[in-house]
Amino acid sequence: MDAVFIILTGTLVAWLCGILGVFIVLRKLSMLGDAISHAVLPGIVIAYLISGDRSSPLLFMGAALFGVAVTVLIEFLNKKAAMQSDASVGTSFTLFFSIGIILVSLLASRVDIDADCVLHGEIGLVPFDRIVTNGIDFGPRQLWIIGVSFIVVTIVLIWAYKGLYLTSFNSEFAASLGVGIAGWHYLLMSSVSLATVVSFEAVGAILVVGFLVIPPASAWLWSRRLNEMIVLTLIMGLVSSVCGYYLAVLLDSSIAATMCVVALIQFVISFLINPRHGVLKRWIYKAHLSPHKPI
Amino acid sequence: MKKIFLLLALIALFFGCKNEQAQTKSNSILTTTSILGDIIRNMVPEEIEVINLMGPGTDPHLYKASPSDYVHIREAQFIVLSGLHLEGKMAEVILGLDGEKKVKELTSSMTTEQIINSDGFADGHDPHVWMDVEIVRWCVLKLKTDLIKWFPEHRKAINERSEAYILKLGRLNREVLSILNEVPAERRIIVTSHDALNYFARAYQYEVRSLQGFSTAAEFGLKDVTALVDFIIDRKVPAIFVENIVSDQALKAVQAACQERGFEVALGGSLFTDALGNENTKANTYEGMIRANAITISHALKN
Repeated sequence: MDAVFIILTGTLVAWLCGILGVFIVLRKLSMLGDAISHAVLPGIVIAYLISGDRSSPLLFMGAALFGVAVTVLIEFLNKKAAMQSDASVGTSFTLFFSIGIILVSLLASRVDIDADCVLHGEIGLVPFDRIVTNGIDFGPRQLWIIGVSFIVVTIVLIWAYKGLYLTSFNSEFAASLGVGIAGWHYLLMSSVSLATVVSFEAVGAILVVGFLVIPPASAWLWSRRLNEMIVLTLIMGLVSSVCGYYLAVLLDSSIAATMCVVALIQFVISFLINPRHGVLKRWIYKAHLSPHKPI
Repeated sequence: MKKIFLLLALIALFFGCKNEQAQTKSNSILTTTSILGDIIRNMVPEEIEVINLMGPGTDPHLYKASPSDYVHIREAQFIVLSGLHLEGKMAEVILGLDGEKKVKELTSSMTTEQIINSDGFADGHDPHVWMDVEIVRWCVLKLKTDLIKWFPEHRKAINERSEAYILKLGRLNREVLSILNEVPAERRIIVTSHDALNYFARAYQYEVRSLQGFSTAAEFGLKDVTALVDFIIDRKVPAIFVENIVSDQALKAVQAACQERGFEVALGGSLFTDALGNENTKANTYEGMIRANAITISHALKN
């Protein structure tokens, strides 16, 4: 049964991150997940200073708050200061992360506190942490949290699909139609930051950062339409989770890292053989067109 | 969307069918660090298996569990943790299993006077208690009762072995004290990489300085290095010590910085702090590790 819960949690994290990741990759903000994973540090430290307890729910709330704050700052720099999106991501999260490190070294230097040990969960521990009320076992806590987040995010995305679709591909056109770009963007960014913080707590950082980028990037190589890209992302997420788990058992390696490796293997395959930009196809094509033969 | 949920349901069904009921092992104890494992091994008879999640040389701060470790946790009926947040998130989850399994923290019997609180926060306990042999002796004495409750059929053997071990730890403590007392009072300063020696310092009356905070994962600042170099030169510290679980690069940088300012400080050797040494070293038991540390320290600081 443990295997089912781990795979199910892995798949739901892949889907939760994947459906948001599609829009993030299209908006050239791929490193947002990594940025958020660092930017939450000051939130955790401040919450610890207030509560004095490492397992307090305040720590999660502090993290979520700073996760949203960093996305707001990224958006502000990008739009108002007209900075490149990658530069605004880099500037914002290093600012937050360094504030966090300064706080740690000034205030809590003699205690073991960082995101790794207080926020980041571990997917292998998911089956052990269960919701039990009145002796009835309702299953793993994190699976419920991720499941509910996935449903909420799916509903939000279905409702916002048109707006996000327009603003992701052609923001000038969208603006000319009178679609408020900023509103959709903030909605997406805050969904991403809440979803990633929730997922960090369930499965740790590497899997979240990986699933936010790798399946959407691989899916992009195959697809011509947004809905194709979303469906392919979901399928690749599922494959990563199932194959990753069994490969991890086989190798007795870290489950999260192995799931990421499977996602990367899919990316490499996509990179080589996809019909649109496939590298293999281009090589074969080139071989046929040797310079000596006139075309 | 519907298709996807259907697919998910199918998968759940597929895995759900081969519902392997995990068998719990009633004749073994699961422990976390290699140090803890060795202590428990000395308390129980051969018939009880002691399983360690972290091998020798594994840094508990950076430990990542693998699937077979989770199988061990699932199968275990009796689990002993070190406690005081050493095991981080894993401890929270394992402690939540208490009831379904029997879980005990080695340090849970310590009194508030025994626990070193490092930052004034309710939660800021220093987990490196095993550096003080006397505290380990106390914890073993208390843990014995729990182990006997867990394995009533081995009552006699556990009692005998634990009592023998308690005596052994008493002898060890006296031996370590006499080795460490060979160092004159003004030279009793240990400079090391991470903050694992607070209990040691209190028990054996040494002064301890370190480059990093508690966690081996934390970063140290420029000011930390300069302050440490000033301290070493000011107090004429003869030697500084690396740890078996931390890279020696940072301390070599400190040594070089001292050299630049015209002060020769030696690298005093490697101390075993958060994990035992490898199989074929003398430090492959808790006793051996404590003795090896005392000899290394005394040897480097004595003259």
